[in-house]
Amino acid sequence: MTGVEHSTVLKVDHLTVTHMVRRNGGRRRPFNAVDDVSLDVSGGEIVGLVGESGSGKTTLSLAACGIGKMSGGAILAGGHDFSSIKGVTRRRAHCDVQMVFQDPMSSLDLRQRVGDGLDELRSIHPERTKRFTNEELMTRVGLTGDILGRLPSQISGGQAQRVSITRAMMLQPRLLVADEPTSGLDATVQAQILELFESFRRQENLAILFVSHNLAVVRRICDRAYVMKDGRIVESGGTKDLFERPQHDYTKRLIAAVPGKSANLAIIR
Amino acid sequence: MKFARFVLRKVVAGLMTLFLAATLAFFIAKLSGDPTIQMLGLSATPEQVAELKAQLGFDRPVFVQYVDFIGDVSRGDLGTSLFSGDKNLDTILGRVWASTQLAILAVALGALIGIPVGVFAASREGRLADRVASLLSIVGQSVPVFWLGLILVLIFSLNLGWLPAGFMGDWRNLVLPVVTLATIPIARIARLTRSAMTNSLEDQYITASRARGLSSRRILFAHGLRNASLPVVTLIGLQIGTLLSGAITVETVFAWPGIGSLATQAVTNRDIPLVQALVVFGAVAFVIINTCVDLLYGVLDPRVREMR
Amino acid sequence: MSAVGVSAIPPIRRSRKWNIFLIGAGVFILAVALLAPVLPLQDPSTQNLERALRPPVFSSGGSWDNVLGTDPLGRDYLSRLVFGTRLTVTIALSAVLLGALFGSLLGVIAGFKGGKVDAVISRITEAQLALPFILLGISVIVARGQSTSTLILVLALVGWAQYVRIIRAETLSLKERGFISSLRIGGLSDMRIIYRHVIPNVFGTILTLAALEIGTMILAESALSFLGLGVVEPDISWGAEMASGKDYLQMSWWLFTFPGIAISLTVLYVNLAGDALRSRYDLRKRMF
Repeated sequence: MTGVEHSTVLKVDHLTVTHMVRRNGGRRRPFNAVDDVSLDVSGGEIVGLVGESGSGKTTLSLAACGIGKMSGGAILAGGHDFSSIKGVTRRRAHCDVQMVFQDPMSSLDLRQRVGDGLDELRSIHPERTKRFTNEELMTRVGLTGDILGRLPSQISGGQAQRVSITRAMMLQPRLLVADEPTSGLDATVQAQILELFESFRRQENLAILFVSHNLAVVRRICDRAYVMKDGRIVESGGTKDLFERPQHDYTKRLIAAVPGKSANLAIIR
Repeated sequence: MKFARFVLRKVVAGLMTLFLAATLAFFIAKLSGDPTIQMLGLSATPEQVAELKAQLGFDRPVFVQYVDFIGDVSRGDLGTSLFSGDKNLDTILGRVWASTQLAILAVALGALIGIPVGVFAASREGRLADRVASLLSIVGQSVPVFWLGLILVLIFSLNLGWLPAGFMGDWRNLVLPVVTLATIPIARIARLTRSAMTNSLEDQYITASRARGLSSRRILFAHGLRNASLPVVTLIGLQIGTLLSGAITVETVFAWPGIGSLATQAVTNRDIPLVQALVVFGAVAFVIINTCVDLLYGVLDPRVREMR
Repeated sequence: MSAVGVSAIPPIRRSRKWNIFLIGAGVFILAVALLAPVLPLQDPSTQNLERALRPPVFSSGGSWDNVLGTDPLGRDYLSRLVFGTRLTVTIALSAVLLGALFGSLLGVIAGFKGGKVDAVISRITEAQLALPFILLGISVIVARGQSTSTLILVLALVGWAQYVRIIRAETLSLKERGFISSLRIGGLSDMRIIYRHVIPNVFGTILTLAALEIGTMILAESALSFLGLGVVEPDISWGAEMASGKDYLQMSWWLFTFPGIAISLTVLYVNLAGDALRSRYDLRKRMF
């Protein structure tokens, strides 16, 4: 990949996200869903963010995309500081940072046909979406043109996820945040989706933040990864190193919990 | 301690709702228009209008009137009747018992008939009896209550002479008004009981078939009833609140000396202060009953205490 | 004031024949209301004191001249009832439209924006729901004076709060599904999201609720008219007919009975139709 620019596309700087939570009928207490987290992603990288549910990874993803709450620290995503821009500027800036969600069905308007949804995005961002026609967009993710006329209820989970990816990619983002994009999909479809991410990385120099609790997938597709627990980063590094020589206890436990990785158990001891 | 905090929260919430409701009532009435002209009629002279306005205090700036109003209400002063000159609160309290009698009896009848009907319909789910019960319940909520009341009077009093039509006498005077008023509670309680039962029975059947220890139908039923009782009880409580103010037409039709017919009198006399007093009183009664129902809910279902 | 929610109701019937019947009945009612002036009926306002208080044709003393009898001023009752449909339908539909529009909009905004906006709207809605509805209506009418438009306003005032709670809950559950976040990331403005995505998705609920509210409005209007606060002469309303009819209850029973039957049947129809709509949109999942 020589000659290709590798600038930082996402820079999260000491981010803290605080929620007021009422526990057990007591007073409301502040609770840090994300606690002083710093990370970065460069163009052309696929970086993993690993953690169990409740670790704060989704909160972090939403903040990175500019639609989640931020209580402290700063984020520069796709060159934008979302906390300081508003209105039309902000809406345009969103094009640079896109997100793919876990459950494709619930991130689509069930009453809108696929093609109409794409056209709607075109009407809002005419310049950014000029490059491809709807049919070409479908081909790009391995779908056929007839999907355009269908409602989400008439397509499969894997197809819906590809539609979501299309909706994200057609805006030509520099950063894609993928939050558990392959959970709930069967193995072959998973593989296809991961392939898609890889090809986008190659063709567009896309930076991807791949959020997941599934270590096997992260290992497969990510160059680097961060491990998150209870709102904090506990370990980070190149995926190969991370998995073969985990330093932190939590990382070790996560790896040990992966079924079929009996070889790794030897490391824990 | 947790429960005490829950109670406190509910009471504070109730007070706030009350305050907002009174404010809302005040401003809705104010913004509706100038009632003095309505009260005096079109032939009133400007002097008469001005005099009435001064008497009612309507010539002062709105905000001042509002502050006075809130102050009065919090002290329990609901104003003075324009017509009779008596203190409104006293008049209302004097008639509350008559209305409460009707409301409680009507809801009791509603529960007495509605719950068994609902349970029965649930046990025959989907079959003819269930559908008939559901249909009757809808019919019961479609008929204008005051009309039903007079029809009953027509049939049972005037034609058959079985029951008296007027008010106050012995228990026989209660029958027609209570039965009339009970129509909607019966219909609503029956429906809610039915759906609460079927919902909880569904859950029971699923768990029972999983557990494979077949409980007898009777036991399943008892469980179903227990789970269903919570929302039904709550509805019963709510019904009392809605009935208390909604019985206006029924009381008028039966000339029952409760706050409903008082309202009609106030309308006829264009007695604005009394009407407003009734609105506030109605809101207070509603909020008190609702708060009690919420607290009861909290007692019966501990999970609720944790929630907001 | 949380307490219990709206009661879930099992569908009465779901067969095709039933739906056709419902649509037919609805068309019939609307047709009667719209076409009343051109139907072969007598003029409902023409007084004819010689013919006062004639009983309906199936009673002794009745004749086919006045199928449902006449009122104290000799006006033909059948035509009065038919003409009464117009105002009943107009008032109920207008009130529901107004109330649904206002209430649903507030519900969507409260659910969508959340936070302080939601808190304010919810509190005011709760306060409104605490106010006894007929009494509130009375206080407004007494202040404003009687008229059809006041009546519509009052009914809308009394009804709007019902929508807020339910539509707000709908909107919240939409938000939970996550597609609103994804639309935001797509760069859609809040207004556009509400207009193009939230409202179409909650519309079914609004429609169902509105349909059921029509029945409530009709009953409320008849109650207010019965108390003498409703429509003014020479307009005809079933509730007002009952008010004047009740003084003749014993001898001229038809004056009081027929309008009540008319109301009951109309509201029954509306409730059955609303029920069918409800089962179509399967609200049973959400309400208890």
